Amino acid sequence: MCLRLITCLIIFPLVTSSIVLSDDKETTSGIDFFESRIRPILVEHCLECHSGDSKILRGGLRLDSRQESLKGGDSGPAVVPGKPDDSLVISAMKYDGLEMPPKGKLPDEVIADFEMWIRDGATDPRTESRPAKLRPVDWNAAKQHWAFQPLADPTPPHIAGYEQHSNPIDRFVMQRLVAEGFSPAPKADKRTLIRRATYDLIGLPPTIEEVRSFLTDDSENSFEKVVDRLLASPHYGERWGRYWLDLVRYANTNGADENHGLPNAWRYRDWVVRMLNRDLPMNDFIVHQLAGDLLPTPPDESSAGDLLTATGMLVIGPKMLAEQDKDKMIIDIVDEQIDTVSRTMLGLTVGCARCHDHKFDPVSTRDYYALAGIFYSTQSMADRAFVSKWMERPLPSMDIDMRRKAHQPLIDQARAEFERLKSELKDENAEPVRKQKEALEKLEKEMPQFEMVMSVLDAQPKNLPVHIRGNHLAPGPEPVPRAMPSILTEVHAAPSIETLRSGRLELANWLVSPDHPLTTRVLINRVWMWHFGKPLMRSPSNFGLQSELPSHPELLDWLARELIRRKWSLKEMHKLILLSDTWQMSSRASGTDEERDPDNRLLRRQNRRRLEAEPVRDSLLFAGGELDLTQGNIAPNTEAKRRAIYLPIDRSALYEMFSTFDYVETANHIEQRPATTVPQQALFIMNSSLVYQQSANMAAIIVEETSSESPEGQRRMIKMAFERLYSRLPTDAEVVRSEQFLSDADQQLSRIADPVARKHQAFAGLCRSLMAGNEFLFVD
Amino acid sequence: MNRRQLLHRCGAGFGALALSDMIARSGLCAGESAADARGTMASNPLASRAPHFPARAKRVIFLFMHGGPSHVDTFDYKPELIKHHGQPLPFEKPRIQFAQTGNLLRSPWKFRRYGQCGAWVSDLFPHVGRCVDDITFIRSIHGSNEAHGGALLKMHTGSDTFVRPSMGAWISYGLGSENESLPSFITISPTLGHGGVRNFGSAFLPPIHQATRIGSAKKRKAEEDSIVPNLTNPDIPAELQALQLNFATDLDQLKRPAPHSMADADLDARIESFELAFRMQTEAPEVLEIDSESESTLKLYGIDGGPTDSFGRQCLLARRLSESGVRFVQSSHAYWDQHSDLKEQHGTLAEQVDRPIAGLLTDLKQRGLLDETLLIWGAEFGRTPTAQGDNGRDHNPHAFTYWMAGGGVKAGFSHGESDEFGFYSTKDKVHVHDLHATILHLLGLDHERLTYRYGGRDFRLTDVEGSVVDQIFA
Repeated sequence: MCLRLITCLIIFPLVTSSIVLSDDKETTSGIDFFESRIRPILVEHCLECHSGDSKILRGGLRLDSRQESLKGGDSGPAVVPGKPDDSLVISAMKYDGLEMPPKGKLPDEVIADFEMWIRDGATDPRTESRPAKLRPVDWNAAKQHWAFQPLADPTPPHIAGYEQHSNPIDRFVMQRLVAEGFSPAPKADKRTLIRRATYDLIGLPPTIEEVRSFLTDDSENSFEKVVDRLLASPHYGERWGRYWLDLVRYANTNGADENHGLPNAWRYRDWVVRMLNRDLPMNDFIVHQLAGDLLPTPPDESSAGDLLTATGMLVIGPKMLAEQDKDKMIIDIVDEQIDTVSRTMLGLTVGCARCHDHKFDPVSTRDYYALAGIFYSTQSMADRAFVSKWMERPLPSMDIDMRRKAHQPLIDQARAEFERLKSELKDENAEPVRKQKEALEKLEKEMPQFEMVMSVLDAQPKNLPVHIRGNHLAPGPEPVPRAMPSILTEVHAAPSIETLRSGRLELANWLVSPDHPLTTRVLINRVWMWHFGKPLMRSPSNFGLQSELPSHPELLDWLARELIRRKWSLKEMHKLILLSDTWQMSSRASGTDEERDPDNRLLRRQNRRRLEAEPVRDSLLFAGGELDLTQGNIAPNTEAKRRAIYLPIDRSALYEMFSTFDYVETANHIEQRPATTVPQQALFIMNSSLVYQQSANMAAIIVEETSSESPEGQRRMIKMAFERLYSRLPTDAEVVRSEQFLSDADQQLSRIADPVARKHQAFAGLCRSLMAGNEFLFVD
Repeated sequence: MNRRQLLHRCGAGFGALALSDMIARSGLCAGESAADARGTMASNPLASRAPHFPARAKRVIFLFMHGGPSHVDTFDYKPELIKHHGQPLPFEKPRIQFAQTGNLLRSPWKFRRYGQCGAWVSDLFPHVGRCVDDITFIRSIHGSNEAHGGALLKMHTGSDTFVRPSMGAWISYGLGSENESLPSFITISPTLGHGGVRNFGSAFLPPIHQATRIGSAKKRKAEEDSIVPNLTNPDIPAELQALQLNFATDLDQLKRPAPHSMADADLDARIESFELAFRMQTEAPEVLEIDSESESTLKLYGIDGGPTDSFGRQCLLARRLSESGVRFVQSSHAYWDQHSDLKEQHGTLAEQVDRPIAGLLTDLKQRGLLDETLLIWGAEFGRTPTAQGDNGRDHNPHAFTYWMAGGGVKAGFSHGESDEFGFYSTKDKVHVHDLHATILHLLGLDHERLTYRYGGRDFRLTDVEGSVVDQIFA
């Protein structure tokens, strides 16, 4: 404030004198004038944001050299010598359109100086043009980026001494282990294996019977039988579907500004679960979600409905429904779709190029708006009302259609009768008219309704211009033809998009063509992560220039090709991976190796994994015998005993238990859930009603099964508790310590007179202690 | 030797742990203090962290007036509005408006000057008026979103387009907690609409930084309010719980005898988290006990069963939490959205908050807490000087007023101006991003250096915007 005041005081007398001398060209066009009147203003008010030294260059405009000022920024030339009216610098200073400087208009005298300076030729001695700080992306070098190269077709290596490894995965892994002087961990024991496999594939612990039957099965392929059983289980889709739902930000309410319920979002979720259970090839899985509505309509209703339901993926994102600038609302939705699709399918952060060329990756704003055109040409919103409504479409049903047609005449008749009565009696409030009106309304209400799914529709295709700085009110000069990102099409050609089509189907087909360098790599890297806890390439949703090489590049490419060879069958890939020695290794750490390879990048052993929120909750209900395994549709609330995947997800009030265990982000693509350890989790185990109730249930079940009061009976109970929660029997020392706990607890609870109730309480305490144990929450 | 090993060697356990803590805190024992224990917590994301540069404020209390109180009826005096009442706005209205408005509408309230600084305050806020010599007013705040949801998200997270962490979450991430038994970010009576939890969420930051909610605008039953979910379970006696936790710890030791390798860090951290949780059980509920305050304090906040009672409790609770070391406390009040009924509703709402707010400011000052506590008052936007109907005003994100007190800002000061009617911010404009940058700066955080890497790039609260308004610094 003080500075500005001083500037005004100094400038004012000078301005006065300059008016007197304004005929003298030397004065207004000369270097002196620039140095005394123009440069100080630029330095004080402009260069912080408009020079090569700016931390962030605003509007792409630099005013630190003559050349740059003439070139201008996003909006055009800042200075047009001789033409103050065409110079954006002047209109911005006058707060006409742009408002510069943003903190307050400069005095009129200063603006007059600038006008005069420009009118007289805009003399500017500053020739030195320093390069901006951040170097632009080198597109030629980017073409060599590992992830943009075609998939290699590596042959699994032969490792001397390890000929018994018939699974190619093991040979790739062993190659690096041998080269770096490590040996693989031994195979995990059978109890560990079945527990690991069951959580891995269906997200639940094995039953005691399943463990026992596996332990007693001595056949060579006993584990393969377990894997086959789990892959055939209808609960497989509930586990693996949830992973996919994380990527596509599934939820049951809108969140954002208006948290409206999304009453049909669950139909998309059920589609995901069903398709994974059916082992729908992953290429179709992707195409259906992006463009199912554009595929030829299958003859049977349920398949046709499925194709519509699949596109719900595009619609379930959060939207600013009450944004009053509806054009902004639409383009924001397009952006949200681009972000989700590009990170999920391409492993690229294309969304970064909305406002400027991507800072790190070869994705330009042109690329962004070429892609945006595709989604802009797709209708995701039903209207542009004050609070707008997203798109829903009816599920095809011949049955409902026929019932509607049968019902319509009843309505027509009733309406005719209503009109007749009205005109006859000439009184809308007359008894017969009112009665008939009620009858009509009742019939209208009884009209059979189609079931609706969230879905999209191709809109009038339209190419979008680049929006300068991401501002939809500042369109660039010409529309960019709809297309796929150019750096990728140079590696892997894409079909051009016909004028009359949105391009969604072309995009989908291009993504899943076998030569695409990213889709299968990104997908199989995720699959690996979900089996091992850690991916081969450590930023699973960012395969851009900043991504590091995978730990096992050849293995990644081999797996990607294998997925294609196996006709994109995910279940075959699961089996291949689970039957590998690599997956079956023990997770036990070995001292010195951990120091040399702390992240287990080389896959010396399996990784120990903390269970996610859903399996934690499901396992608690499972232990208490209360888990309801009904499939499909949506649970009424989070108190329901259904599996966690069926609980409603309210973006504005997330179920506390979920957020406590790291399922937090319901509005964004989640590439990998964090696994934090916070005291809130401990409090949940110690005090939550869920744990309290399930420990009591579990105690009741065990006490009932073991009626004996003898010490042997108590030991049997302890063993049952361990087996139920940890899939193993306790050691002798653990039994002794457990007995001590029960006797301590019995004393502590002496105020409970009834010995049975006391015993029950103490045993529930034992169950809670085991639930608090690391062994319950972690899978070895 | 870490704390856990120490305890085990002493043959003690969870019960004894709490006891030793109580002794340590009551000053009877010069043993290890809670602060020392924090050092041994493996990977504690709430551990207190040094700021980038010396901080002027240690913590924040944000009084959020949901709905958008009218600046031209409260703290931004516009005599021209009186003169031109009923006339059309002599310049263009914004391109996007939430609702259509008509001609200029003068304020139904009288303004008067208060204090040494002579700041104008309307008769809606007489109690706050008497505190103006402790306050810096910023009358040139502007945002970009004209609807509640977008504007709330912009104000809380800096973005009305993308899902981003809340300001409180950023501050928690930047500075950690001063009290490891309490969350670092607490929001009292937040709205569940208009962005809901996203306004208080951690987005891609570690979830520990999201706000803990106490009560909500919808339901505010005392018995449902807990400072931390699952803090207690009346069905489990504390002694039994201590036995359980000792038992669980011993089983862990039997399974994994020491020494532990670095690969066991996650398991060790989890055992330690139970210790912390056990301590939280006893400490956290004490903070909520408002009724232990003196009669005169309750009176100061207007906790007397009248209209000021509810927000008075919120303000007093905010002080207790802040005093206990909670980094960022937000206390929300609703619902200032007077498209009509301005005179009656603004009157009622202001009456509910005026005395409690002044009480909080006075109390902080009396306790010597104001110097290190930044008190902020504001909303998602202001309201138009033009009338909606004949007794209402529309949303106005183009100019509105915030005020701050304590925490290193000037006392009895004003910064920035809106135009003669209060429609647009004109002089020394302060955008929402600038406000964020300034708040972070007061806490010793450089908004350009407080970053988090996610999805391949570094994110900031202020994205690529924001400049610090250092003119308001004391």
